This record gives sequence, structure tokens and C-alpha cells, in this order.
Amino acid sequence: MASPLTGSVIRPCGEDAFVVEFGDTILPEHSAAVAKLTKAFDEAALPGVREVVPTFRSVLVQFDPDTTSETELVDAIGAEVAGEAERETRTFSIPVCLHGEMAEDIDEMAAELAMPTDDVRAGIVRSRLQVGMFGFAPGFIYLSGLDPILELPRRKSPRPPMPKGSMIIAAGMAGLSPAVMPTGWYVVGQTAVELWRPEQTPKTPFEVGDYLKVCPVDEATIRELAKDPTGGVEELRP
Amino acid sequence: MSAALALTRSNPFVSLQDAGRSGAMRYGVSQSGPMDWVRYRLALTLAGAERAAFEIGLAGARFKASGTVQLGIAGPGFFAKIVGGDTVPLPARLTLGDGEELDIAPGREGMWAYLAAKGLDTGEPVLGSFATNARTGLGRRSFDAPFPCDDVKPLQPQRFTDPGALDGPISILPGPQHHLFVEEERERFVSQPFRLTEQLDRMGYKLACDPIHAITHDIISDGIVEGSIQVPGNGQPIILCADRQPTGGYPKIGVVAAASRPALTQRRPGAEVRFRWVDAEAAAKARHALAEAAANPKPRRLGQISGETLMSVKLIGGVWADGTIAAE
Repeated sequence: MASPLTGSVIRPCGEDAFVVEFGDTILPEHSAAVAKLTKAFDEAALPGVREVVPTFRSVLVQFDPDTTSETELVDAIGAEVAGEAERETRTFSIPVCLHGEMAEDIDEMAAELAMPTDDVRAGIVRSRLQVGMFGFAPGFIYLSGLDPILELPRRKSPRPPMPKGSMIIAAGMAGLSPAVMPTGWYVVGQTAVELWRPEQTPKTPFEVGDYLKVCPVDEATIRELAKDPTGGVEELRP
Repeated sequence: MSAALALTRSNPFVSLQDAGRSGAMRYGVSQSGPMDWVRYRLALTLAGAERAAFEIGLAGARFKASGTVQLGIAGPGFFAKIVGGDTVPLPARLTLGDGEELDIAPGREGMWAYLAAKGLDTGEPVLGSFATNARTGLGRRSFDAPFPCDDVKPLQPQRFTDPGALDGPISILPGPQHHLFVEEERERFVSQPFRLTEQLDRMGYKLACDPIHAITHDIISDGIVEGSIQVPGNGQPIILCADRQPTGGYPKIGVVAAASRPALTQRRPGAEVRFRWVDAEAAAKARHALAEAAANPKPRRLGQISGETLMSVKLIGGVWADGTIAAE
């Protein structure tokens, strides 16, 4: 079984961290490698590790330099895989309303792309979205895998705060926002799932590496689903 | 009977900080924590406190005691003045008696001061930390209610030596995109001068300089540790601080060594900054020396502050003729 460090380059990051880099682009195989390495660190629970931060293509590891070292951690993780099964990829179906007030900017986005709004919707539904990383705000999810025809730059100027649970698109990525906040991306839909629950374990409904398939629903359905924190999200078994 | 400490003059530059949130950067949660870990730890040591202290910025703060509270205060250039009483230069340990008020005011240098109290009760932690992060709404932001503390016997104020190390070059180590800067740029980074702009806050410090060029200024987002030096397309570096976002897409040429972070964050807008490359061993040695100084501070003889000295110091709100500080 290959080491979770296979295919990576280790970058320096000051005196108390290092970055394991699998590439410099967004590709599903990078996300898979990131998810595998993150899981290896989580399960090993090595003493002195302060943070493990997975992103689209890298894992930042921060540690207490008086307890451990980069060399020690890299050696321990490299050895961590004897007999371990490959991490299963999870795929979830996530209900999203892509119409009306819940998709405030979808017409504007379609106009920018010079295509009918329904083509934008079809592109979103067709995409095999993958959780790349969290960032920007607690529980905010960055997704890769958006259909390439939907690529467009960020808005020229940010728009007013988007509703909680918004699905947003820009720069070839999609995002799911847990909070009301301004954004430079296009608000294309509304989900009903609770994205950030810090008192629970796990704190988020999805992990880096999970795939999401958008299940288009109407406004009434989202309002109904919002009564449940799972928001109608279901894991799709193979 | 317990005592309490109230913040009677709050402002947006006052917050509660501890060692920070760990383990949640992966969910998009900033680590937060003190801008100057050395003076933060020193304040705790002097107060006899375990964790959590007030961080005070250039707008100062005023505190009031009920019962007698023991305080540890540190911050380069800052003063502590008992309202109607003495001024104590920092770092210091002192007790504040029932009904007494204390002003913390900045001096000629420094940006951040820390005030810790023995037995300070800061309530429940959020995600394992008491640190305030105004941007994401984590931690305590309203300081209206008093904080319970230990009731102690009064002491004469005691003065200590500041760990210093505020001047001189800022030590840096290679960052994750060090390889995206050609040799000439990396050398220029440690030979040319930089200046701190007015845009300095808990998220980051922006520098002005002859532009630094990277092979590319747009990368797929990476995790960002405290002290990371980002170089966006305009070639003007930004040093990411305690409340930075956990991930970002500009190349990071280096990371400021922990031992140099206080020296950098305590400099004011317009101050010159120069850098030097160091290795992990040198960084560790300097870091240990400062940690030791914060854990075992040396006492100093408490001297009187003359009216002339106070007049010569630039204080927010000005100085009255009799030497008392107008803190507002």
C-alpha cells in the first residue's frame, strides 16, 4: 500500500510547520491524496501536532517545535500505512434550489456567460463537485469539479450579504456558505443543510475529498428541508 | 469573597486573548491569539495568572477593581496610571484596590499591551479558546460585565525588565512558495529596506517597498501560519498575523520567526523593517531565550516618573502640566 506521502513534495513553512504539496492545480487525484494524508494524520494523533489543514492540493501541518519536528512527523506518517485500506470516497446528494429569490445572481451569471439560465442550471447539476477545502470563514466549503463551461471571473464588485446556506460560483469553483456575508461570487442557489455545527462531532457535514451531486428542488422543498439540520442531504451508496 | 475587574472604557482595539484556537484552522477558523506572545506571557507570569489576558491597542483602556486584584501588565512604551495616583512604567506587577481605576496608555513606541489578572474568570471557551475574533464573532466581544478574579493582599507596585529585542532585522525562514522567487529576489528581500504602512491590524501588516516579484503571484490556496509573508501581484508584502484567514492564494516567500514577531508587531506605521534569513536552529535558540525571559522576568527598581519625562512622551490625549496623563 502506497505511503500517504507518495507523489508529494514537502515545502518549508517556518520553524513550526511544513506543507505537503501534491500539485499546484485543482485535480480530483490531488484532493484524494490530500484526504488520504489528512486521515492518516488524524488517525495517528501524533504528539505535538497543532494543526492539519487540507486544501485542494496540499496539507499544512503545524506542530510544537519543542515537542516534535518535521523529520519525526514525516517519518511517522510515511510508516503509517501498513495494512490500511484505501479511504472510501463518499458521494452525497445535496438538494439545492436554483430558482427565484434563492438564486439571486444566476441570471446575471448566465448573461455574463452568454448562455440561457437553464444551461447554467444544467451545468451545475451535471458537475461532480468535490470538497477541496474549508476557509474564508468557519465551515465555508470550496468545491472543485464545476463544469468548465461555467467558469467566469469573480464579480467586478462584491455584492451585499448572501443568505446562509448559499451556493456560490466564481473562478471555476463553487462554494457553500454557512453564514450571511458579502461575497464577490455569484449566488446561484440555496441549500438547507447546516454547514457549521461547532458543538458536534464532526463539526461539518462534509470532509475534504467528499463528492457532492446537486439535486435540484423548488423553493418550497428547501424551506421544508431546512427544518432538519441535515437539509435532505443523503449519502449515495455505490 | 471574590474580587472583580471591570473594563470601564472599552474600544475596538481591546480584546481578550489566550494562546489561540488550535485544531480548527481546517474548518476555516482563525487561530487568533496575542499579537506579541512574549509580553502576553510576561503579563500572565507577573499576575500569577494561567491563561487569557486583555490585549490593549493604541486607544488604551481603563479598568476598575472591586475588592483587591493582582495585575500583571506588559507592553513596550505603555504606561499604567492609577487614576488619582502613581504612574508605573511597564512591565509591572501591581494590585488595584477596591474602587480604584487604572489607565493603560501608549507611549512613544509600541502597539500592543497586555493586562492579566490573578484568577481572572473569562467564562466558557469557544472551540477551546477564550480568544476574541471580532471578524467571525468568536469569543467575547462585549466587556460590559465585570470579570471575577482572586481577591488578594495589596502590594507595592513592582517593576520588571522588558525582554526588549524590538530593534534590528526581523528574522525570517523560507515559506512554502520560496521556490517561486528567483535567487535575486530572495537576496533583495534581505538587502532592501521596507516600511510599515498605515494598514496594520490583527489580520495583517502591509509593507511598502520596491516591488518584489514572484514567478507567479496567483497560487491555489494554501494553509497560512502566523508570520507568513505573502506577496500579491503589486509586489508589496503583507505579513499575516493572529486573525488572518486560515488559507489564501498569494505566494509566501517566508515566515517571520516567532522570536521576531513581537519586534515586528510592536512597530508603528512608518517604521523601517529589514529582514534576514535564519535557519530553524537559530530561530529555536532566539525563541527559547524570549520564552525564558517571559517566564522569569528580572525585577527592576521602581523609579519616580518626572513631569518632564511625561511631557516628552507622546501620549494619546495629552499630558497635563502636573504630569498626570489624560487618557482619552
